[in-house]
Amino acid sequence: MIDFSELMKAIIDGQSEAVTGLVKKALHDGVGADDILNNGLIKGMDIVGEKMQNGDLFIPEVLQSAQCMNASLEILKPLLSTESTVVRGKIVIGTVKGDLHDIGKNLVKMMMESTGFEVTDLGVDVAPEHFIKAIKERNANIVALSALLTTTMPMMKKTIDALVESGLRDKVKVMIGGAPVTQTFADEIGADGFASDAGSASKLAKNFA
Amino acid sequence: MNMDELYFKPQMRFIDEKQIAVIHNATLEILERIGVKMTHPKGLEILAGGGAQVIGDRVRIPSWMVEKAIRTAPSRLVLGKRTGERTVVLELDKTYFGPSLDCIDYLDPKTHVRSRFTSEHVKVAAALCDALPNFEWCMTIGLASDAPADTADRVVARNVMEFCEKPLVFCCKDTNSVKNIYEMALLLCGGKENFKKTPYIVHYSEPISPLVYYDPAVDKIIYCAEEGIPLINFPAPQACGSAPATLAGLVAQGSAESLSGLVLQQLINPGAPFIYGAFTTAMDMKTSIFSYGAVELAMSVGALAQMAQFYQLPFFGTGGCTDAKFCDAQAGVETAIQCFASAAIGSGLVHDCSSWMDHGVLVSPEYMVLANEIVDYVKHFMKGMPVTPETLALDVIDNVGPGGNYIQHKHTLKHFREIRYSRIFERMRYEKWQNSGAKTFEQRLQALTLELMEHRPQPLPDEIVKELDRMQAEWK
Repeated sequence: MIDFSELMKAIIDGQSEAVTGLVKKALHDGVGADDILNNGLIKGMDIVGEKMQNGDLFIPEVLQSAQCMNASLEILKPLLSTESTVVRGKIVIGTVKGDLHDIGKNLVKMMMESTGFEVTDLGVDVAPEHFIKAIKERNANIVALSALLTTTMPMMKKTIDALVESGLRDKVKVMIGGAPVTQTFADEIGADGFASDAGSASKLAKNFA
Repeated sequence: MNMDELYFKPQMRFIDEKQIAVIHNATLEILERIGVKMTHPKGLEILAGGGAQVIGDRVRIPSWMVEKAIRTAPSRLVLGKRTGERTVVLELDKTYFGPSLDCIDYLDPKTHVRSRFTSEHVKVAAALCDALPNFEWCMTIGLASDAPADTADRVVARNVMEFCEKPLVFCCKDTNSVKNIYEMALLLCGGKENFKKTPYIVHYSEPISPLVYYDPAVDKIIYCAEEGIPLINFPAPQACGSAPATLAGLVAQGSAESLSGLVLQQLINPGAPFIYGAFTTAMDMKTSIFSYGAVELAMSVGALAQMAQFYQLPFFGTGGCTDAKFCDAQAGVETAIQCFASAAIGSGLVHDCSSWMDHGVLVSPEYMVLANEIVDYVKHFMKGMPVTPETLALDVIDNVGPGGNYIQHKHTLKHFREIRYSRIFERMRYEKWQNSGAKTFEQRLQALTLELMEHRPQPLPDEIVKELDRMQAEWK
């Protein structure tokens, strides 16, 4: 069992040069790319996620760690055995139609990417048809809907209804979020989950995958 | 100069004149270099016609247009109760505290159970705002989770108008709602002429930070400009999230966002009443909330208040709110420092005072009463120390003489009530406190809150209520 503790520490500390240096050294020493990714980088990012949930790391620091992860992935991608080892899951995310607020959604997207998900961000004011098109194109297994306004929350239900109509509902997990959104509302409209912040959303996505 | 009586209003400066000048120029630079994103066709047309550079959905506003708009906007605005009484005079460095809007939850003062805010809670909170003497104006305080989403914005406005006489600052989703709320206001204050003379409602519209206008916001600016309804164009940039992590950049961006709306409004109707401001604070980088208790809120809003005085524009301030979920020491500290800074700098309409707990999620009537107390404490400080023959009391000191006491002196009898007393901050000797029931602060606060919640303003005449019902039935 290879000792990845130095690599994990470098990722937790957001030390980009140290991380890529250690990745290259490990490859040079004959360690497999899959091994480095799963047991070094992803495990390190999982710890980063935990620390963020506990309030031990700040969001910019988490994103710094994520950048180290991305830099390492550039090195490892050509050497990995299959595409599925890179990607934890495929998520389509957007702010629902009628709503232009996106800072929360952007934070969620960044957190999810940093934990190994492939995220397609449809932006704001996204109509149900657009979500459906993107889910089909990307073969996504998770849909994440955001709304800040109580007047646009009903659009979340319309989007879920559109998923049902198009036959996609059983193929995806739906999670929702936004300041006025609650677990109760999620249950009412038939969403699979609700998250109150980016850290919880990322955790929920891991559970779905 | 009469040297016998000297009065001074305590003042705090958070930034100096040089900083103000540089921030002003930075604000102009933001609008000239970066501009705002806007898709509203009429908004774009008006701005282009007025001299702005419009390329696609990007509007760059040259400095001269911004400075012209600041000049044509009125430097003062007087708001009144629905009775017409002129009570809020927005000019110079005057400060008026008021509550908030759009809170999601309610903390019942009797049971301390937290539940979703409803249209009934709107009435109760509005009546309490009417009762609390240190709030001179009102907002809609919470969202009505029980009302249909389409009409909820007007339901809350109506409920506040019925249960509180004080001038109302309101938000709503689109121009149609502004129209309906304006119609109610005209009904209550007796028509357009009365409203024009002493506006009773103010519309609060928001661009989205950084530097974005969505179409309904532009629509509402245009409508308010055309009708002469006082308008607050109020962005909410958050340091680290939707604005720079450094306060000067945060302030400059917020200022630019607010003034971009002023430019549009003044092009449509020069001299239309405008209130400038931005809700600036830090986005917490651990929890991702917008922090309402952060000291950075008081700091950045303080800087903006000074910018408003520099521009001679009425100001929409923020203060007297908290991230705390209970009326505890955190709530006390966060609220007190913000109220103190707001009053000492001079901050126009200070909103989110008292009904904004748990970073904007929670309304608590007990907190409203606590905040009222804190504002009272601050207002008392802001009276300053008049130095007059009466207050120097030299003859009294002579009269009492060395070793004497003042307790029975008629000067003491005349003035002792000017010293502040409180019903909730107690000062008993320990044994007395124990023997009087050993009531904690929380218990005293609860008792006073329940007592104050009995208040209702003069009910509206039946025919007015019927007309409001008729209007409400027709809302779409």
